[in-house]
Amino acid sequence: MSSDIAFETHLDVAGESRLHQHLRHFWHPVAFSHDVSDEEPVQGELMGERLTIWRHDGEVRVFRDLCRHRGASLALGRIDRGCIRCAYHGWAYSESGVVVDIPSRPGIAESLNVAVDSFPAAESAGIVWACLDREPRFPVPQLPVLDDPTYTHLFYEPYDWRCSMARRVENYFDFSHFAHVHHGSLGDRDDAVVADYEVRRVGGEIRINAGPFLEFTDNPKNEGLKSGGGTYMAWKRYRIFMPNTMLLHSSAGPDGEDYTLFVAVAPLAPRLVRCFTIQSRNYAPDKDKEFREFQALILGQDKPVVESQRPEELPDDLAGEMHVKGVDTGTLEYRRWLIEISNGHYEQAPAADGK
Amino acid sequence: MLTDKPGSVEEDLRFYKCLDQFWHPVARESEIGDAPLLVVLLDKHLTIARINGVLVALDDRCVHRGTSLSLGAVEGSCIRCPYHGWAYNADGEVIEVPANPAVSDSLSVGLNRYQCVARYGLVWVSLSAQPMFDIPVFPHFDSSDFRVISCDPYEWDCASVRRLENYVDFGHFAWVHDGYLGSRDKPEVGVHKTWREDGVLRCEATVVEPPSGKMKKHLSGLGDLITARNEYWIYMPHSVLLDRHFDGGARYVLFMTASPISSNRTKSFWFIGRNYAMEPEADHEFLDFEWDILGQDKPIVESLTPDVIPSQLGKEMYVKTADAVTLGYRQWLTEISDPGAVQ
Repeated sequence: MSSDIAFETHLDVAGESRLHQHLRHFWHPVAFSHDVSDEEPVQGELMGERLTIWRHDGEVRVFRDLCRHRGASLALGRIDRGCIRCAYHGWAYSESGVVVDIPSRPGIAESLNVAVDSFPAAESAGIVWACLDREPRFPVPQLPVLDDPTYTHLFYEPYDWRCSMARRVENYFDFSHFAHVHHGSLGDRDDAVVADYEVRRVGGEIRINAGPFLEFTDNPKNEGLKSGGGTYMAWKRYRIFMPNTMLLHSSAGPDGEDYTLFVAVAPLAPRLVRCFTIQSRNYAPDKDKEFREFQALILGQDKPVVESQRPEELPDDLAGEMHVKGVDTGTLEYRRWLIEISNGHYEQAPAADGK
Repeated sequence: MLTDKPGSVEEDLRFYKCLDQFWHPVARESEIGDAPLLVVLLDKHLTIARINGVLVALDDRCVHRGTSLSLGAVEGSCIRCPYHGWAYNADGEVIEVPANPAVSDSLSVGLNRYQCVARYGLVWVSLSAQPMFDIPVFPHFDSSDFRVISCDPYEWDCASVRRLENYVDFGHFAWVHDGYLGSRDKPEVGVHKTWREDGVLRCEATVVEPPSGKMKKHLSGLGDLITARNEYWIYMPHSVLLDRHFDGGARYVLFMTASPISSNRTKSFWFIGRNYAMEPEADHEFLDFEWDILGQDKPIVESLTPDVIPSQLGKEMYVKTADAVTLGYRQWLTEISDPGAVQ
């Protein structure tokens, strides 16, 4: 008699938990390198797992954020002579996670043989990465331009959104939204048609060459690119490092201007992500303030829309949403690969020819 | 392992799931301006908009990328999604895909459109194409004999059926509303005549109670006790009209209609009517009194466990006469939610 009510306001808990289970096998960003010192630990989170991030002899360490004694957060503790010491009762953990000192009963730590879980950790692209499994499957994303002294690099303050990792990542190479959400800055409502573009898998990445897109020059990103008339045709090359990172390379201007945007998205918990963004450019070195304002404008336009998307995770079934031929090819390929991952298939594609 | 909330482990939602067969209020008409409005009814997100002067209720989720359409805009005779500019007509059909205009005509997909009308200054929606009963009747709303206040709606963390029951729970007045609607010195509940009429559960009782401050002020010649004949119309599933007749012809009317947002969240729309002290300056006295009453009820009703009334009626207890209306209400809910189970 009564039809089934669709619980749209409820998260697809089973679907998300399956994806999160498989995402444990991949590298995820947990902090900017420059925020992790050998003086005090910082806290991070991945898929509901709280983490303590710290540095020992210059090397980053990522522990489960849970003292074995009474479950306090180790990130509240301090780094003391190469150990991390819990704030509650002073238990000390070595760089490998082993309890080496219990101040209330000196001498018993050696006989206890207790340790906190230590996860694989790496540094790349100015970011600390962690993997919740012993054997990370795909390589850590790289950002070689960081080593180029002719570029200016802007590390944006990390920010959290109430959405899933996949919805956040897709938004970057969702080509038909620029004209609408970013009308007047990255697109024009009256020029909304998206030309066909190229999508392929290379190693653990999806690569996309797309364009040209009409952009406006009255913003710091494009004002150095002299094309006259207030608008500019942009080509965009993307590398999407599965499953959570994207690198946008926007075409150079007439004088070889070059712009890249690197975004790594950490799935913190259901409906919650943290985004680490690095922008690099070889022009307008003194325009950091303007670029920050531009970033705030663009994010402010995207945030309410992306946070509104339902279901929060991408539908398991590609037919759960509609895809416009030639327009949504990039996001469709991303979804296909995520579905493979959530089914336990972690194969990389062949490397690019001649590279 | 803590299991301190009985019923929280396995919630029985039968009396929630049956609610999609009825009209429900979802907003005040004044909230529907130029922009679409997001409302949630029975866990379903809906966009309410006025297109060419007509109220329209559509699924709030763009079929393309699941975006909330209520973030978009009404443009001429369509609603446009903010993300990629897909346009929907009033029937929910996709009429434009800007990124690839050629596909617009070949698409045969769209959003569900639901029945949606305005009445009593509220927007009403039925998720069912054939709702079981009509929208509740509230005749005082348009009557020049009454001054009717359309009050600010409120949301409680409770099930809509529990909200309704609280309104017609005659045993609680003496306790929760001691000194307002009853007295702990006199907690007995008299007989309430209860019967059904069409889609309405009727109930009538004459009560003798100490008059509240506002009554003393506005109804002249009152003693320490007043006599009131209370007539109730309970419109299934959870609207209630109370018409109180006092000696001398004075009448005080409350109309409350509950909207189920989810199984444990309810928005109540309500009205106060009266045929005495009709000057607008007196409104706040009646409002203050009713908000006091609501403040007394809210923590109690939000604490009820399980959230939704258990469909096995024997899981809770009933006091003869005092709970007669509650029991009559639950029996009707049982018939509605599972017609086959009742002979």
